[in-house]
Amino acid sequence: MNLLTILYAFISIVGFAVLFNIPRKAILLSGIAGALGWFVYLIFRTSLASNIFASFAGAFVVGIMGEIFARYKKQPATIFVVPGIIPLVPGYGLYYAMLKILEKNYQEAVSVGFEAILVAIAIASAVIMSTSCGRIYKRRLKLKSISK
Amino acid sequence: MVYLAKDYFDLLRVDKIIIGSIMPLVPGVAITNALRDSISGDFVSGMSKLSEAVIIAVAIAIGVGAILNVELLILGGV
Repeated sequence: MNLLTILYAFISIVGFAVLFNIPRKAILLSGIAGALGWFVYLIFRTSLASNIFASFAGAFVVGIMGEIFARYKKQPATIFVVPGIIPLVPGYGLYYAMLKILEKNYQEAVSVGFEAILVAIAIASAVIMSTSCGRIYKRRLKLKSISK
Repeated sequence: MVYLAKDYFDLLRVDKIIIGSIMPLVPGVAITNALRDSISGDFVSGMSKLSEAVIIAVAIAIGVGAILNVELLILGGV
């Protein structure tokens, strides 16, 4: 587990946040959310040796932190989540699979590409789950204010 | 895309450099967003984003692979 990669993840997320035209006051917070998600990903990957579940856990942490920062900064949660999941998304796997298809190395292409698709599904479902967690919290808040 | 990959490939012959330089083009976030849309019920949006992402990935791989093959053809294999 190389802890210095957290710093690299933070720098890359800040760069992608600038690339995606994120508002200036949200750039550093999205970097913090993504770095925390990468930290959780590292923990789960080294302890469980499962890339897919580690991506799920990391993306879930990114989504929760995005919801919290969205409440704090009064911005939509998407602007924290989209740069935050950049280090987790399987862009490399997808490119590698396509390159292996062109090199007629079909077995490796299928194994790498299928893992990339599974990681993408895991990240997408983690983001959906964190969004619904935020929605449940909001509804409970509303119910509490009505019953008072 | 081909020219970008060619520049970086001719500069330093390292596979990791190609991947690092190609990272802003690779549709990882696009695929994740497509699957997110599909899970939350917007199937038309999800499918169109997914097909776009797959076409972009194929285009990137074709660009890089073509340059790799040209280089192999000229130098006759490394």
